[in-house]
Amino acid sequence: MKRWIVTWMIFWTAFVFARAEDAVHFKTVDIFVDAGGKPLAAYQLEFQAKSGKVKIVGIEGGEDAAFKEPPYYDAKAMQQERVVIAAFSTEEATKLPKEKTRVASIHVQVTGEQEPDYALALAVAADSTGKKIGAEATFVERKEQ
Amino acid sequence: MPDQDENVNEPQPGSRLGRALGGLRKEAVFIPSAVDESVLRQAGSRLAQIRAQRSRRQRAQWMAVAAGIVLAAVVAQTVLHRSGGKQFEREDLNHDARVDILDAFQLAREIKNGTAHAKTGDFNGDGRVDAADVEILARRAVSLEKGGPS
Repeated sequence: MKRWIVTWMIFWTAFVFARAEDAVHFKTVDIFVDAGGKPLAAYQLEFQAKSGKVKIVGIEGGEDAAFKEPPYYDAKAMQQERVVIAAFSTEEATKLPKEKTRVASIHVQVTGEQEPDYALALAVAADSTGKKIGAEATFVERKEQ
Repeated sequence: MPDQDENVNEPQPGSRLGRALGGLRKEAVFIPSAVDESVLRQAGSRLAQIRAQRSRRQRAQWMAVAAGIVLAAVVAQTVLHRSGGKQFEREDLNHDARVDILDAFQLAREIKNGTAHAKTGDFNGDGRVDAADVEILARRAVSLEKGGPS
């Protein structure tokens, strides 16, 4: 009887570890750009998962009407861990976001229990006249509900 | 034996030619110093000419080498420019030495304002400047194949 219990425990432990190794989670990372009071008309940034088994599976637009549409990105970025996204709006300055705004959301598939580590780099941001402006890009991983 | 053969053509001391040669004056020939100086002056002048010619030839050779290097550099620049740089420059509408979303944004604003020109903004070659051309620029800006943001 004892032998059966030990054997059963070994198999159960191996099964649990195997499941943890192959477990797939879907997460959403919100991307924000803060133009510091200036009208944000265009931006380009690079998002990358630095560690963990991460694949980008979807990209959607932001919260403001000016950036509601999904940004431009290379379709080859799907199923990869790196993407360059960019968008612009030809709306008047008064209709553009001036404060911190969510410009996009990136959906990722994470395999395994290791928490992914992300990196974000803003390449350029501009106002409604095309003039480059100093802005800050940040990201927040949305909490699972 | 060979000595005897060589002596055959030499004037013998007792011969007429030998006597005549023996009677020649043995004193040094006097050359006036003015002639000496003149010869030296002319020789110096000729040597200076030769040196100048050599110097000119060397200078010409170096100039030819330098011209060759400059020509090679110009040709290389032109070839590189044609192979990759020209297209890059054409898409760089705001002339900031990189193709990014701001170039697409500029073209979109020009289309909106009616100031777009087919010469600079027609990227798909359909004779018109429209949203399709903006799309081409934007896709190029986010392309991963160029190694991230340019």
